[in-house]
Amino acid sequence: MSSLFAYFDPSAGSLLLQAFVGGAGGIVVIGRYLWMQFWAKQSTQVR
Amino acid sequence: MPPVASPVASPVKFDVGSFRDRSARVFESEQAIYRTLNQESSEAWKRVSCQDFFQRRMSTGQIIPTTELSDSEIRRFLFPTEVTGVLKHERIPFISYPYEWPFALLKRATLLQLDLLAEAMTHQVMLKDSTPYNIQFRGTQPVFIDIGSFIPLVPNEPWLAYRQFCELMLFPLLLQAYRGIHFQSVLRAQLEGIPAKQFLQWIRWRDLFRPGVFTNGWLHAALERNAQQVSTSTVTDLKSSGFQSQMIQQMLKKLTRLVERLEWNPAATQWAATQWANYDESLPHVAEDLQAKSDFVRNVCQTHRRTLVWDLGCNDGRFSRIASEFATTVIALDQDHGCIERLCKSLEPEQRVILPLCMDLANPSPGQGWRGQERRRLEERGEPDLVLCLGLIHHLVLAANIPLPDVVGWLASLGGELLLEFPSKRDAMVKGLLRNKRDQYADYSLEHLVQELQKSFQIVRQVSLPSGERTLFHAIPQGKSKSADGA
Repeated sequence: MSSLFAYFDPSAGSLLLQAFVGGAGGIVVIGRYLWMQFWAKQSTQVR
Repeated sequence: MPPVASPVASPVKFDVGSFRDRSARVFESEQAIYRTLNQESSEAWKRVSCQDFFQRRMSTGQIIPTTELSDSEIRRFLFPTEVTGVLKHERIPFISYPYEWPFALLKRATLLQLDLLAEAMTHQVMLKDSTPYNIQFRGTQPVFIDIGSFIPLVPNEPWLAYRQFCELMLFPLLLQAYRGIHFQSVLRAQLEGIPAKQFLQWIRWRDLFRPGVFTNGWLHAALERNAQQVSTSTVTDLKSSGFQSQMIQQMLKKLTRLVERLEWNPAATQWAATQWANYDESLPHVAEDLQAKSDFVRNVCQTHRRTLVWDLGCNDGRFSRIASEFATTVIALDQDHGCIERLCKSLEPEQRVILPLCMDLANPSPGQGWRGQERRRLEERGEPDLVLCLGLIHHLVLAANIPLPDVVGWLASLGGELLLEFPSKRDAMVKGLLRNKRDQYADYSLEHLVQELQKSFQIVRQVSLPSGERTLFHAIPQGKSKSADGA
């Protein structure tokens, strides 16, 4: 199912927070998320 | 495809306050409230409305009772082409806004929002927004009114409305519970709510250790600050990183526990420490007059049943309670937040008649939002059949400096019968108001009041209270005298 975006901006910070308070599973999510951001940044710099 | 409108169909005029969510707009016709649906929201309605939890919540009144119009009923109206369905909602007797609610009502609305969302998620349903404007009150019982807010759950997607929840519900409650800051004036000025950054400016360092502040406030603001540089979709990235809907449910449990524990105790506030909060009991003349006043109110109220009664300056709600025995809805208004909070807590949570609201009557809620029409002014939300104005007029004239003819003119503009109490300048309360002021109020006299009343009302009854310093009036708007007498 496709994502249903809201009529307001949910703000990136408020979305990340939900993983932060999501217990041990949430910490893993944050770790993966930061890793993805890191590699996205690296690949942009290489180009 | 929507049914073809009949040739005599009238084009609908949408409620100006319902533009934010284009997929489910509201309009009013012949005293009924309708909501249009487009393709997306029609599908959501079909999927959600058949669920047991939804039907159960409608039958208990926690979700506004709603039916779908048949094709023949829809043909009565002329809609924009994108409309594919129409819902009809039960009417709420009086629309109120979060910036008028006491702490206890915002708390009840917040708990209903969390409870509905938690249960909906277990049925693969989500609430796409999280604003207290989606909730109204019947008496002190919250009712969720925004049916268009229910959408199918997108698995493992974060809760998009969490920031909105914090800014419009959680932060206002935390500010009042922890700092004693009345959220009403802030929410009235900022219809989008209180951002995390602003919330933190009102919070002391030591408050960071109180439940809910560090995570929902400080960490929230820090993440918002640092995530601004991210250019990709955080929703998509979090899903790819393994976010699970279960994390939202854990969060909802924590938020529910947090909100349940929040309390605001008006006894500890400055307001309640003054004589205003308890002046019925503490002033001798008030005690002396109280019984006569109660009898007078009861005599007027019991003549016939009223649909809507406004009790202006309701104080402890004594007269609202009397009126509630003979009315469908009583709106109890007072600027003293402590009084309204206590009244709210003293009423049965399930009662559906008295709605206590915080309102400074020298500065009542104006038209707000886009073009000043998104949130309606107090006076535009229904004409009261009866207005109680007891123990108030001296505050408006002598404390708020509003000329007496203006006060009477405003009361007449409300359109209902009037029950008015007038304390003379020899009254102890009036003397107290004038103690340190220049008496510039030559117009404040019984004779002048009678003259002003007679311009718009027919005075049906005038009674002096036993103390001799206060007079009660029962007045009926001119032109309505016959119908009121005959009722």
